[in-house]
Amino acid sequence: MEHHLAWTDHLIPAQELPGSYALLSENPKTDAAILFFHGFLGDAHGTWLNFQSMIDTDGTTAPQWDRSDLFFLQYSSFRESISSIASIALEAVDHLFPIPPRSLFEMDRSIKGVPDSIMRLSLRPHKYKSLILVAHSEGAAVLRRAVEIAYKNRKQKKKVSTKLRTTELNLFAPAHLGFEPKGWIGACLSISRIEQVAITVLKLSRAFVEMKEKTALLSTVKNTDQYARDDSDYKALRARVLIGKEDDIVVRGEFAYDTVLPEEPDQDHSSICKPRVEYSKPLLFAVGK
Amino acid sequence: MHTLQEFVVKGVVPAAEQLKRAENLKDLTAKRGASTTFFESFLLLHMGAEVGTFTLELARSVFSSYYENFFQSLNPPKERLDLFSNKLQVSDTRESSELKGTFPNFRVLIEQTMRGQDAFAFQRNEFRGANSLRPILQKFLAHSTRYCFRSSRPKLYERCPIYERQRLGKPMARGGLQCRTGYGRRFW
Repeated sequence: MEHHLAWTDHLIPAQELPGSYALLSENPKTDAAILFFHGFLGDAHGTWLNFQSMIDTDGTTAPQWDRSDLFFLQYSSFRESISSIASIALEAVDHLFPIPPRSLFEMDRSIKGVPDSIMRLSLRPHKYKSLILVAHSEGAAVLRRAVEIAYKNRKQKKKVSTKLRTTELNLFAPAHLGFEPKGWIGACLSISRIEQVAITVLKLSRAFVEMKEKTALLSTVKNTDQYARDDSDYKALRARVLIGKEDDIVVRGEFAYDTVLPEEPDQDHSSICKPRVEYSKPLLFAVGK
Repeated sequence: MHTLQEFVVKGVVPAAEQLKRAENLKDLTAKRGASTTFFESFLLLHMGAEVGTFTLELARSVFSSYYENFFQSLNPPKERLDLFSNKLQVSDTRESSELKGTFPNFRVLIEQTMRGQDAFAFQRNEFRGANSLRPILQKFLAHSTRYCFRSSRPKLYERCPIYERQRLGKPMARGGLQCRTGYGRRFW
């Protein structure tokens, strides 16, 4: 069974997400949707490098991939604030789960001249039973904020809030507690002139300011911990966290009810979420293994 | 949608429409650009059939719906057919010569297809691990449907002066300098 690529720039009405795409399984028994959220200055392709090909490679993946559709979202991680990307995330969840748009699977019959044999190739529309949200770095801060918003406003946002109740959150090198560059990057930034220039540029980014100053993030931590304490069945309030031993970018730490996996040796902030032949952990972690 | 459907809807159909529009124009550059783009999409189909992304049967069906007429139109009209046209030689038209000049590595494929031979039987790459190339080809297909046909601007290599000189058969400025931006050289 293979996955087929479809561009999903217009997945959310009135919201263009150029560069977003989906990999749709041809397995008619597909019943899981996995949404991927990239990090600061990342994109829907590069951040998740090798997922696209390795999910269809025999012998290297968990069997769940065969029955999962993957949605790689792309947004402006530099210009937009964490809260506004969080609302995009909530809209995406709302539109995709449990019944994604039929146009993703079926060809528009109004297109003239297409041979019948090609028309008949349309995939059978899927209906999902489970939803997994996977994020890297800033994407994790986005998802944490999205879950907080959905839970806080669960009366007004009943639909999406209910969907997140059973949703799994798997976070690679999460920046949900902010950035804290160390190592070479930190050393370079500590040279006052470089820092001044870098910070001046980076301060143009709302998301960066939020992650650097941490005030909003700490409020999300506090609220999420409290909600998780009050509502032990709400799955999305409890994330699984995987971080590399060589990560020099994010503040290490988790929310009170998170499950933290042992640190991955030899993996840094960028490589932690890129499966390779010799490092297949991301393929397992993303599906909750 | 299936990868082949996505390729047909967002790749082949827009390229065919672009070609149709260009045929009504007097602008030769636009015509060349359109036929080049259309042929590029055929090369992706050809490659897809070889590595198994598309079945041969489906690739043939797309070929007969979209490409067959294009290749036939490269032949001269019947009344002008060269007496010497046979299995060893085709009579070229300006369009076919230009296409062969743009894709010199695919001369055989172009000529055989102009003759009405099976397009997928010629100039196969005979990869050893063809299946392992499918993810890479899927990336090419995705990017071709995304970027190739959405812009009316000429492609980078169409604006390259070295490429243009080479295509027109003019001598290179620095003795034999080869254009490195041509599609054929970039990918094959």
